[in-house]
Amino acid sequence: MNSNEIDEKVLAKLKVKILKEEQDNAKTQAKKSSDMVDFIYTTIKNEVHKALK
Amino acid sequence: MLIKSLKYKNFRQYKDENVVEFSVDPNRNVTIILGNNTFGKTTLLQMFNWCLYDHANFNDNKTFLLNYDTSSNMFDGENEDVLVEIVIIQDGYEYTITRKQTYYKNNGKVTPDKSKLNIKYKDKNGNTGFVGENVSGSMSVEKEKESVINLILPEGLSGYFFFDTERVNNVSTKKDVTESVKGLLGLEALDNAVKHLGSREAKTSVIGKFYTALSTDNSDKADDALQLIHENEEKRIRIAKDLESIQEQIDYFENRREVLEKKLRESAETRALQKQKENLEKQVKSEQKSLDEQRNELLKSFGGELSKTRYFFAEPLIERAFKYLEHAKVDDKGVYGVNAQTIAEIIKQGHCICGCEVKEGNEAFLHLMEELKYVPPESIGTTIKNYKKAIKQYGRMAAGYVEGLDSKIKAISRSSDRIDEWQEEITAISAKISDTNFAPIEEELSDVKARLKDEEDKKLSKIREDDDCKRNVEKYKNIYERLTSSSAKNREILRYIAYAEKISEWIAQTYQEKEQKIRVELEERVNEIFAEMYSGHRTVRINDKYQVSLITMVNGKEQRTGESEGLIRVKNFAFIAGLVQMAKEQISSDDSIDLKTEPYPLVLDAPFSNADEEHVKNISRKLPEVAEQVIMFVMEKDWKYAKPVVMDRVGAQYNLEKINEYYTRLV
Repeated sequence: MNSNEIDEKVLAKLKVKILKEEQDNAKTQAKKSSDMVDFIYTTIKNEVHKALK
Repeated sequence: MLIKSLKYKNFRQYKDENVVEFSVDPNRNVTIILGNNTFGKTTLLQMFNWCLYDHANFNDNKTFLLNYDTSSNMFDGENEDVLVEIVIIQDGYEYTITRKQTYYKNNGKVTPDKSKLNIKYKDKNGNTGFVGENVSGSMSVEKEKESVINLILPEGLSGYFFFDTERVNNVSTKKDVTESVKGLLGLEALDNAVKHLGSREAKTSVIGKFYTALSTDNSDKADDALQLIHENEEKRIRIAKDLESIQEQIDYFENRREVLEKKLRESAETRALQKQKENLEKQVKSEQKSLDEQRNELLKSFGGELSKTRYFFAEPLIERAFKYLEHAKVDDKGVYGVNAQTIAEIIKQGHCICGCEVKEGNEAFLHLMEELKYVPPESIGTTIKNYKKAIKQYGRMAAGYVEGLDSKIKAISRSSDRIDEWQEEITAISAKISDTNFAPIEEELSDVKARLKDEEDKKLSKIREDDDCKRNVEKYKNIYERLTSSSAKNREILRYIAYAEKISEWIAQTYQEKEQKIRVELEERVNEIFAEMYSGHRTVRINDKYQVSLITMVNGKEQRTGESEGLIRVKNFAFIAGLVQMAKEQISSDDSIDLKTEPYPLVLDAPFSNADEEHVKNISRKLPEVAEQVIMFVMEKDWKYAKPVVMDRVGAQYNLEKINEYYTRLV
């Protein structure tokens, strides 16, 4: 896929969301690794899908 | 995070219930607990571990914590509790963490129940509650409590703040402290994000899951390409593991080579002396052999031919006899070789050998009778004359023989003297050097170099192999994407993958930059602190695994230096202080990534063991400056040096009073 097709705004939003969740979890360790994978997976899917509409 | 107090009861030798209030005053942030060896300083430290993480590190009876006196006085059917309660202040919350374990006595045997943890909190507004009270299900309640403990101080990091002597000694030389340092310095979130985003071959990662979601529309070629991507990625994981283990070998051998080369370098003078000693020993051996041969030859020529041996004894006698007879006045008118018997025979025959008739009374007869007066045995003079002639010849032969013996004896004596002289030199050299044999060191060094080369060759070969796999992954990825991008659904998933890969790439790069920056900054901090604690020319270096070593400059080159136990302690404290200081501060950031970490207290058991007076003072001065709170369990002998420099920072002080082996009081 060509990088031109990446929406920088969506990318920036994703970076912030994912990192914030990771930082919160690094402190609390409340979520398991698989929960974090699910969270990131769903976040990317939803945000990108929303932007495509 | 600050530790406000510690309450305990029946915990090992701490029988009485007691509360220790720690100083939380930022200007007087040091609490001192004084006690000598075996008074129970380590037990106090282990109370923290048990209360927070449910295990204590003792050499004996790790799981039986109940006080011995209490246990002995229990009757069947009775029970007693072991209790530790810590009050911690963090982020405006006050947590009261209580761990209690009940011991029951039945049939004469005392056994513990499972310990129970309770966490009470009080928020900034004074509202109170218990952690887990709003959660249903015992598993969830315990998980909630664990999560709060992790929030306060994750166990993985506790080793950097709760120090016993052993931990202080090991902290900077652990094989790989990267994970802990990541946690301490706030890099963990970035590291986890990269791991969670993952890659195509990691099927349970975000990218792996997206990849699996792509529909191959029953295309064999797409399936094959995906399979090949997986195979190559899996191979790359194996190669990465191999490379890691090869690198470990390389690190080991490089370290070993350094140690061996250092040994040889440091002992250059010793080696020169050793060489000299070896040469002398060879000379002695060779001379000894020659001496033995000479002695044998002497013995052979002395005892071997007895006819000649008598010359040795006769020679001085001959000389003396000759001297004596030389000046003796003797009548030597007699004819040489003629004796009385010859004359008697001539008379008996009646004529001389000249033909004259010899007849009693004639002239010839009278001449013979006259001659008889001068020949032996009547004349000693002729005998002496004959003797002198004989010994002259005998003396010449004896002199030759004795001269031969003499030169042999002189040669033996010279050899013997040389051996004595060299032996003296060997003794003197031996006194200067220890009897180190350098051959095995050189042999091992040569072996280590050969192994190092093998490992480096292996590493190169693996790197090439990895490059091939990487190219293959890219190749099959293009094929796969071309084959799968035909459907709209797949195109959308590929777009998710593109976003996920972009994010992963960015986080990985950010992580690298941050990590590098943190390591450089940490090294600077540790060096600053080390310079304040140690007066010398050594500098601290921190490698990519956060292992700490000391170096010095020799002829413009960095060289690792030897480290005494005391110096290792100072180095490790500088490292701990640097870490604590950095963890206390927010890492400066030029973008939105906040790596803020938590300030932690330092709890130290016997921190000054093996440190000298000067270093005790320096360490005591520095630690309260960099840490939020310092709690030290100190021996009296060290306290006398630390006290003058740290006293104005001390906010609380206690003494341990040992009543007996099972009973210690804190006053």
